[in-house]
Amino acid sequence: MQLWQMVLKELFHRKLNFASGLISVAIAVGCVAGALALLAAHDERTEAVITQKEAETRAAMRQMEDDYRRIMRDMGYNVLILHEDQDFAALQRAGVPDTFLPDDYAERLAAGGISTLNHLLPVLQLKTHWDERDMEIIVAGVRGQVPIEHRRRARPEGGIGPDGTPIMTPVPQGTVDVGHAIAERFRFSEGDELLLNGAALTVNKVLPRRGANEDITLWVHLDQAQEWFEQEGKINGIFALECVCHADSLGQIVEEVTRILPDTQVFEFSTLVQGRALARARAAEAHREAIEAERQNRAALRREREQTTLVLVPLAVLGAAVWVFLLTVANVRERRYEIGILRALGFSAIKIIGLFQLRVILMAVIGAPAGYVLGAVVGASLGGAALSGSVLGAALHPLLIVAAILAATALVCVAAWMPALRAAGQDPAEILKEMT
Amino acid sequence: MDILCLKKITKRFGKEDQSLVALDEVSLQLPSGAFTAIRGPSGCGKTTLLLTAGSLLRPDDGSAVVLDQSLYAMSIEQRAAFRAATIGFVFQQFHLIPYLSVLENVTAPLLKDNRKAGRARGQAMLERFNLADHINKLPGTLSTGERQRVALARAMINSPKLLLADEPTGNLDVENAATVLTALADFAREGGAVLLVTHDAKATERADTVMEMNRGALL
Repeated sequence: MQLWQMVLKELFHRKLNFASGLISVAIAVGCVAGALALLAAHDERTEAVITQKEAETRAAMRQMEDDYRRIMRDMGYNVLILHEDQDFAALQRAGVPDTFLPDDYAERLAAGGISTLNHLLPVLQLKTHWDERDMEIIVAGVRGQVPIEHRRRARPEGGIGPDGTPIMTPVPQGTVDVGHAIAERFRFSEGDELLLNGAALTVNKVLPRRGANEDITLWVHLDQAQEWFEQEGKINGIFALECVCHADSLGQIVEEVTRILPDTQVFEFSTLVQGRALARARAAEAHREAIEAERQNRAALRREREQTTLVLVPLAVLGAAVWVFLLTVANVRERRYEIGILRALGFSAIKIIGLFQLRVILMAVIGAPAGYVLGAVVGASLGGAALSGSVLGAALHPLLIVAAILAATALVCVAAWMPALRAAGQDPAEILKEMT
Repeated sequence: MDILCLKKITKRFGKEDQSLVALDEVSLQLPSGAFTAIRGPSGCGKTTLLLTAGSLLRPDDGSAVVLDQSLYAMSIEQRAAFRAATIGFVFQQFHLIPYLSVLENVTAPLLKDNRKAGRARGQAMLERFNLADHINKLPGTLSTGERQRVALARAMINSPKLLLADEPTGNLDVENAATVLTALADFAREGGAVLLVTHDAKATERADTVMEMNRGALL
């Protein structure tokens, strides 16, 4: 008869002792596997939560960017490009520039690869007395926005593109776009006829209220304005929409514009631009803070789980070792006479130790994989990972299970070593004398 | 050649000033074919003598030799191996292992042997003791006499040269006791040596030599 057969027979004879040891090993290994799976699942979940938050933030920011773009477009131009000699004080006094630029400057700017501005509108604005209605007004000649081809191609997916819907549509020859204050005063509406400098013009559209000089402006075709004011081939400004929304973007715009058009200067309606930039920065900051707070929460939860496992795992392992030790002590005590007989029959000390060590090795070999699988499943579930997820796949790697079995085997062998040694060291004569 | 040779064996228990002399210069020789019975009252040292002769209890003085091997000159593990190969034990309480079947109990001392060969030997031994129908039963299901026969078969499975029996018929009825004693006598006749210790005069009837023991000394 082989030694392992004797061990198996004894296990079935003392099922409770063996089952109880097996369960303790399974619990200890399960705690270790569960802790590892829990932390891995936690990390995976954290990654997923943060990734989702970041995606949401990106989407929200993109949406906000679109909203701002629409809002800013509706608010009108926020940048004016002027001749370098234009005096700002004079501009403030007169309301219109008094220096001039060639009327192809907007095209040159567009062709020069401008990236910080959008909606380029070359304009010739002059203050004049409207004789037919006896009113001081501004007449502005425009040909329409200059397309910026490279920016059209760079239109972002999902958002409205730069240069998409023009702020100012072209004014056809023989027509006029009427500023809100003028239209209100003279009750003009679309299709009405009016006289300006002796020319009969049809009202193309009435512009919405801007609360600025545009409200007292009549917009006509650029050629018409150049002819009236004898400024053929000239404009005195280029309106534009700043599309780079950093608080310090003016410097970039100036640098870019003056690189392409060296004899110009840039005037920014700073409150609009800065308001937009600040609002955007504030929103971005709020999103960053939300993500950071989530990250902090997850980190705190991980620390809490780590601390729990740092206490629980050694306790479970120590508990299993102590329990296996006590079970082996009980088993040795219960089998005292059997050991005496086996020694009398010629069993060596090694074989007696083998009887007890094989017994606990079987506990580890059966209990460890069962506990490992169960612990990993429970740990992954508690950590919020899906049962079919990568966490469970990694936790149930065969090498890890083998390592768990080997570690559990080493643990129980150490735990059972002293009682087994004591069993082997018992004096058979003493036992046999007790028996007679 | 003597199978067992004990010379002036002395064994004391307890501390020196209050020690009890369990064996007092006991000398004994058992040649091949000897069936020797030692009779005496309880506590006279019979079991101590048996354990000393069986290499399980080191004497304080004297020498114990089995088949020319000085038992206590060997290491513990050498003694265990020698015991397994050479000496068989039979006890009054049988001491069968409760979770092993009859056949497994009988073949338990054959750990090193080929499983198939060991099983065949065990079956043959059980047939010899009329236990062929019980090979797969657990000891708890057997009668007292059957259990003692199983113990006897286990003691003989390794074909020992020396059989040491401690009150082997103490728990048996007349019929079973006779069977056991016959088996012991047969063992001696086949060339082995039997040392039987008992307090029962009837159990010594089959022995070739009967010796009396009292207070640790052979009379």
